Amino acid sequence: MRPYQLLRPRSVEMAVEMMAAHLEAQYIAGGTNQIDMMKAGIHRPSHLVDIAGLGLDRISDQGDVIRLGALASNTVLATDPLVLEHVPMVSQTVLEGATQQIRNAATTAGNILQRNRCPYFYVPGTRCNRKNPGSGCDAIGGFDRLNAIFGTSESCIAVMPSDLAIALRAYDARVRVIGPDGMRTIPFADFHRPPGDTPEVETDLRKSELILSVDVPKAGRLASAYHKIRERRSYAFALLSVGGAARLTDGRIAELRLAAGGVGTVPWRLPQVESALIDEAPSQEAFQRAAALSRDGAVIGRQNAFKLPMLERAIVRVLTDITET
Amino acid sequence: MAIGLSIPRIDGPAKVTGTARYAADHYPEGLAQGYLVPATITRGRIAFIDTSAAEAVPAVVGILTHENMVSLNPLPLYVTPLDPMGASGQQVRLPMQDDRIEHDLEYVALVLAETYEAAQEAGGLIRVEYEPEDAVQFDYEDRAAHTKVETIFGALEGQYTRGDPDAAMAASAVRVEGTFDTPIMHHNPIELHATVAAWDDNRLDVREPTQWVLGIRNGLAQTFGLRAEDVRVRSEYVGVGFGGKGLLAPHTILAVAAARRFDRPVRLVITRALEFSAVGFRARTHTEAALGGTADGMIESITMEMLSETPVFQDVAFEPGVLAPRHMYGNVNMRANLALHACNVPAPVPMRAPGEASGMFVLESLLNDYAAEIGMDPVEVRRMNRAEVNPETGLPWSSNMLMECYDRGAAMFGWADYTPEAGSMTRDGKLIGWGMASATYPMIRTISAARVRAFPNGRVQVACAAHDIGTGMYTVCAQIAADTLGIDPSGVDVLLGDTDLPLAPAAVAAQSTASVGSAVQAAARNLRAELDLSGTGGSIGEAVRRTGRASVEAMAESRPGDEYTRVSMYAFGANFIEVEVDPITLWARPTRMVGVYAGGKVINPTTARSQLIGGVAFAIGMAMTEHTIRDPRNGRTANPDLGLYHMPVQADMPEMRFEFLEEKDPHVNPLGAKGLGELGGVGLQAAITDAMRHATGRHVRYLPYTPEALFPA
Repeated sequence: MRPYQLLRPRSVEMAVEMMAAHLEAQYIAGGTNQIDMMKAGIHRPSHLVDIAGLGLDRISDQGDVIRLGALASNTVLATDPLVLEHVPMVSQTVLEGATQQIRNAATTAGNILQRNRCPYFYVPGTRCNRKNPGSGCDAIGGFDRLNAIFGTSESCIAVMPSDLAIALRAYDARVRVIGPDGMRTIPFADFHRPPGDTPEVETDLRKSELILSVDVPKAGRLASAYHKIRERRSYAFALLSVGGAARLTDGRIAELRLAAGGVGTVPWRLPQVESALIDEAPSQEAFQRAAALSRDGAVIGRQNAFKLPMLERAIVRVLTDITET
Repeated sequence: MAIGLSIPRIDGPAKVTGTARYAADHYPEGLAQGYLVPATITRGRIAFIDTSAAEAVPAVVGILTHENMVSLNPLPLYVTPLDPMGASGQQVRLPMQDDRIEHDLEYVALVLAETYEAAQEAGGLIRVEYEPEDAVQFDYEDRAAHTKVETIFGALEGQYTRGDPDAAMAASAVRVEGTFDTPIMHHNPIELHATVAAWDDNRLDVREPTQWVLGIRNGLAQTFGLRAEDVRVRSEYVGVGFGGKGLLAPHTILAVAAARRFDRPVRLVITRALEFSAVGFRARTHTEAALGGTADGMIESITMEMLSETPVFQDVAFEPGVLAPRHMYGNVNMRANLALHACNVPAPVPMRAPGEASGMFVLESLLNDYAAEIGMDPVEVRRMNRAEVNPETGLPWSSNMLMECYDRGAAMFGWADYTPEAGSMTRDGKLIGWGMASATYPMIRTISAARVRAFPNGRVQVACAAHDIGTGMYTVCAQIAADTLGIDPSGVDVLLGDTDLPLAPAAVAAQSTASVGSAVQAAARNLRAELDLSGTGGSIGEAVRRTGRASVEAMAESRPGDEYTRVSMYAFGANFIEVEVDPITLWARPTRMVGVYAGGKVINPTTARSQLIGGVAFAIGMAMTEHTIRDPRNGRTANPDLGLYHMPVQADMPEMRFEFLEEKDPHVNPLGAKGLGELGGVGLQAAITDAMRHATGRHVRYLPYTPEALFPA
């Protein structure tokens, strides 16, 4: 591990200034992923700017939205009464991620900024365009069982691994950030970037920008569920997951939000499935017909074709759960 | 009577309060910290290695590479751990002796520094250029590359036939067949492999978490050209081994070599990623197997051709799945052959129930297929094919309560409600499947010695070079000594894991209680004979005080007799398990299991039960989650960490109920105890896949199961 200097800013503005002052500085929040990256030698910061203690850990009701502080712990997210009442899928997704110990330390912003879990990103000596831009991608044509089938490019097929991000994508959340040029808001749909030719650029964040909060529109009238399939029942990233929220009116689906994890290089919204079911009465046949539309745009690799039928099954499972009356 | 009591482990408080000092908790004065750098190719040579940037890191003490590594004496190709005086060699290929690379993550440099962090940073700055070559990868279709195994563990037949299996198969009214695959698994002990090595002139002192202190000592003595008595190896506590800490591995040799070269004590703890390098693993297997029988349940013939993998530099067969299936049932016709494919892999080592784990998966899966094919209850098929004597040797069983295990297990599980048709059982909207399988493990006993010493204050000390790898050996030794001396186990102290203590075998093959326990019992008997207890009211302290000596001690050596030639000694068991399958996603989950075992006298039901829980976790891991993945193009390990190598967690575990049958066995050893440590991981894999078949109609023949495995084709 490269020796680094720990900086303790006293305000958000000071944190941004510190970051801007050092070319190789990085923020540290809960550290659950940052420290792993440093041990693996993938992150080699000269300075760590510690953003704990700046008042970014609160969850509040802002009228139309629930504001999730960037540094609210995942455990708090999972149990906060405002979250449970207004945006319950946030809790459902967080509880399916990591372990209690990790959730105690991990934060909202850290969760959605966590690096990908592609094996080739971690194993030393492999070609990886995220690790070493321009070196190539050993995941393509290799052990790609865990990799993405949507939003991929010839340079990268890594999955965006956050569970929480699936709920935020389904809820159309917004990310509030502050940087050297002031504050701005990023729609969650634009926050994570598909790899394209620059897979090392993973988010819309600019140099030195700091996440203040994630604002989630209230959706308490929607029934929600998160179904995560994985290779062990806890402490494993999604092989595939589906989060959904729905509202029925007169026995028909009036509102539906669906997003999938473990399949996309970014949190994968399923608009074609959603629109096929609006105004439909819930039934297994209708669900299966709509779920089949989820295959649109898939690019299959060597070992991950099973994700297509698995995605359909997970969609039907979630739809069944959120439309039960 | 202390034997048979469920007393908590006597080393428990030290472990849970952090006062137990494991190998890497020792920091001899002046030590340097080590960090290993692994190769990033599977086969080839090192063209160029540049350590200049690493050497410039402040606090670096020195760097060992093949360019400055001492030349070592060859190790023997594997000496059986069943001989306590044998040397231990995991692989004949010794570390850093030349510029060749023969497996992924082979060590290319060892950095020593004043701090671990400096060593790690310097390690990352070592630049290595390779000339890679095409690696030989496991290929079951490349039959010309396979070699037959003639002997297993130096004594057992690798090629085995009885009767006329092919003719009997051809004549059978019903035949089931299939190919079965079991995965590469890594032991992944919670305590990483580590070595603390210090030289004092020509004497070597080593701390190492190991299942075999004497083997490590003898292996190091041989490699470095030392007298065995000049090497001391200590291993008081071991954060589990599972077979992966039994044999001398390259990191230990490197730590010892670096300590000598740089004249500093060395502390080397390998990284989690290097748990996937050269400390051993369970080799994969690929088996073509068939079973022929009558339409009413009599097995006529069983055949299995198993292929496993071995390194290019030596032949080892530590996953010999062809052994256990030979003695389980009364079929007169049988073939069970083992072959190896030499690949660019490190040397495999034993892993919990080595051979039984894969072999019983194959055999029990065949039986379950057969039962399903003829529409019979799988328990009934097994009863019908009971082996009255061991069909491999013709010897009578020393004891065999397999039928009683079926009876009791079926009753505890509620098997009477089993409806054989696939998909016929549901609960709360889920598909329910039930499955069962037998379990077996051989009773092994080897030579062991022990010393028991009594003090004037009445305390008793047991000492021998045996090991507690989390199994409860400290506690079991105390119980046996206390029982023999008529005192409470709390009055007994136990010293283990030190080559200065009386000889004991490796803690492998579930032999420790039988071997070491018998020696402790004999030594305690000798001590009792030495002491004049008359008129003391049984007070050991009083008897010692009478002698006027500081202590009174007795030794004993205990070894097996000729019982092997008269009786066949095995433990048996029966596994029953239920799985629940989501009817939409077809994702399966084990919900409850029952295991009933007959393993002779149970010395401590609490520690025995813990062993079985661990065995079940191992079987769940092998059946459902654990799999070391090699890149299909170059053989490199793709998931060398606990995030992607999925060891099962609590959420994967079913509710477990265990029972030990009371079994008296006068033949096995003076205690009447059989080994239990491996039994829980045997057979359950096949019960799980059969339960999935029962729920969905689809029989998984490769392990581990994957969440898409039950999708319709």
